[in-house]
Amino acid sequence: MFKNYIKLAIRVMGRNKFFTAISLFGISFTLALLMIILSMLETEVGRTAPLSEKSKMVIVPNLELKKIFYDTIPIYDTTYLNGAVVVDTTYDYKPGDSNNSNSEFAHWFLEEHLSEIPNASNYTFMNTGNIFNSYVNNSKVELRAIFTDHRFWEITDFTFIDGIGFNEQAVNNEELVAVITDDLADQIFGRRTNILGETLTMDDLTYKIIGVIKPAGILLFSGDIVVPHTLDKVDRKRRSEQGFGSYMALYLGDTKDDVSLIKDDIKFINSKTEVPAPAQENYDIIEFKAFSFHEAYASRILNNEKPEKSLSTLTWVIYGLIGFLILLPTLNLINLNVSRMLERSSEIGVRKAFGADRKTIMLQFIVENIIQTFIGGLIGLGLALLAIYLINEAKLMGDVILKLNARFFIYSLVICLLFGLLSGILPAYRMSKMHVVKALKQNKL
Amino acid sequence: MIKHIFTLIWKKKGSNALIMLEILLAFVVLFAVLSFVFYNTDRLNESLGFETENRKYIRFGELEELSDSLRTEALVEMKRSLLDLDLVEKLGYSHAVGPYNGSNWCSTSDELGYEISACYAIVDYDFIDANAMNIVQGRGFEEADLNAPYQMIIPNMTFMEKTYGDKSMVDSIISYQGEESKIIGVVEEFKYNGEFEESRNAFMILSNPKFNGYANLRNAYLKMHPSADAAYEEQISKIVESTLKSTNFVIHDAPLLRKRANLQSWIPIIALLSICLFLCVNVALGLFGVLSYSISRRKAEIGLRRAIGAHAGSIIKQFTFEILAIAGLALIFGVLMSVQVPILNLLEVKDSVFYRAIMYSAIIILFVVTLCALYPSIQASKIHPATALHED
Repeated sequence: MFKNYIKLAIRVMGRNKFFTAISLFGISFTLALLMIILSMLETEVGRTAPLSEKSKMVIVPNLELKKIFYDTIPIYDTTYLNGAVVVDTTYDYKPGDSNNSNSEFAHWFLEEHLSEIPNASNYTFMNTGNIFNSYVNNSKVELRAIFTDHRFWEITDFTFIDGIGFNEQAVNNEELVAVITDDLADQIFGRRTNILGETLTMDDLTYKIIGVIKPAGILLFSGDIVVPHTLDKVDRKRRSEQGFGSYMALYLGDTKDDVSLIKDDIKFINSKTEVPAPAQENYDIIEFKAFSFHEAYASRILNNEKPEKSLSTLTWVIYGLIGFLILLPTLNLINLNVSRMLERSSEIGVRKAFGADRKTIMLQFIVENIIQTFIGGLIGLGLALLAIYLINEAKLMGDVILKLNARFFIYSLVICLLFGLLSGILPAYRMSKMHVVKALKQNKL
Repeated sequence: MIKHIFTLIWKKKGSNALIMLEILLAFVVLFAVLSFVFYNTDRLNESLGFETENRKYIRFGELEELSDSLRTEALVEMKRSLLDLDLVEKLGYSHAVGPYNGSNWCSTSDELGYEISACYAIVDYDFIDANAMNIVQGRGFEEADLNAPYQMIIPNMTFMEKTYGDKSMVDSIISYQGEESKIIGVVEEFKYNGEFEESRNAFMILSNPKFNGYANLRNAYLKMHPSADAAYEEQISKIVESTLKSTNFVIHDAPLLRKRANLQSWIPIIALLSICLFLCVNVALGLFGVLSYSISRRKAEIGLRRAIGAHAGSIIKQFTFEILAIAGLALIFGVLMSVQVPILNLLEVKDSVFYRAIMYSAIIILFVVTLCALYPSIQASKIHPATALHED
């Protein structure tokens, strides 16, 4: 039976080429746009390398030191007491000016206070913001360094083209070893493989390359050379300071449920932590908050200081965008299908006269519509792949490299199916409702 | 005639309601996108306040290896040796905030009833000159200002107008962040985050060893001679490296930074506009399909009207008015809905942006709808009455 429906659907599509072209144009472009959005979401927040376990991660991005000065507000109340005026003064205290500093952490602070989280199975501290200049063969190369520890390689799953990441021993012994991306290797050595053992000078230190990775391609890791944090000269000087620096902490739980447990752990640690001694003169409140990966990501995208709120805002924006993107073409397709209903009236009339019930007719038209959607989806997939390729080539999204994986194709399939159903149900319902006599009267068999 | 048209619309209310809904949705999408586009592009004509042509920016990372006094010395030394180069004409410094580096420092305080709210950059006395900023009142910073007993500030026009209205405040002393600050001049504009930034209150504060020190200088701005090429950068780099004793710095080409920053604002605009264009084309094609189909189904009616003497023109008019009436109804709903955004001040954006967006969206929709209706109705009007009547 389905074979018949498919045959029929293709015949119908061929019958009126103009209408088919209009429908396919709408379907394929809509689906292509949705697929591009899908790929962006999958790359940035989905389970893609090098951070496949995003949903189990907790980020502690920064440290805030505060001091609030309270304003004293006297309130005068005059009343009569035994015939004389009496003034009653009360004082109200309100938070007024405040001293406020906010930055990432110094490594020592993280090590001292945030390295033992009971519910976290693993953690790493990293500094991703450094750019060093270097000149190779008379051309400038910007080295964007990530300083981190050996656990970085356990939490992330970078694709290694060659070699391995550094281990605990290398970090502790301040060994001059580096892992670089193949893009950087290409820039410096003119080749992407066979780099191991070569050396690279960054900030007057000569590093030996022990691993080559694929670029992360996500917003969080904009770096192309990874080295042990013990070699971070600037950070070493911060030992005696307030606790500010340029490191953030990343924790991994065993399951998704651990995220809230880790957040609670960090809240508890925060309540027990005192303002570091050198900062006590200026501040009396210390605050560091833990966020799930998605909260931290949303606040970064929206430049919002309140990650909890940004996540819901960003989610609504994305839903809204997708909603409008689907709704208009769906309505368009419904309109087209409804107006073309009469084209098929004779067929419906004959089928009904021979005893087909409404369900069968509805099913037929829905299946027909879904087949049309899938053909459009296939074209859309081609368009989306082309667009993604072009976006990546032109580096339109900066460091972000849009990725494709099995989940992307499955989601795309689901979207096609949904779109086909949504745009097919109403016309199919109206066609199946058509009265036999009226349908047969349109006598153009 | 109008009554007649509405009777016809009402007779097919089911499918007409769907078309109306589609036009309404298209209007809402157009309105939202155009508002966003107008909001962003409105600011493109405003001046940036500084020049980027032939400028190079040097950003030093953290230099915490040096003590504060050594760092100040190193920076003074660096300026001297860079200016010794033939092709470096001027050099100014700033703290973390400056043109195109994405940092912002803002504060609000109450000064004798005036709300002093501004975003500020701390700069050295050569900054204004090195960036060719346009001073409209008073004067720029001078080296002698370092000995002044006050914190020296230069606000932009936006700040002066918003805070003091038309009053000239040059040479007045105000309290800013608890410091006695003297306004010595006013610059035309200082949109350091680029063309797309909304003009806001901005201050330049003279970096003075007495108040905030040189130790926190993070950016250098070089005015180069036009003949300096890319290879020349390496010479600059070597000098910076030897004076700072670190390679934790980057040299940027200012025009490139500006282009990149603009590109970042253009990408969402272009992406939204192209999505919008696609949706419009989609709706137009759909509408065209629906109309040409439904008009071709009404051949009998056309034939009859033609037979009793209607002109081709009146046939075209009837069909076009029919669809325009539907679109008009949808637009009335759409305008009523979207006009709430400026009326209720739902967003902190100038009202004119929304009114223009409403106007242009309505015009675009009416244009597209008319275009979609014209072709099929012209086709229909060409039908010979005899053929049309014969078919039924």
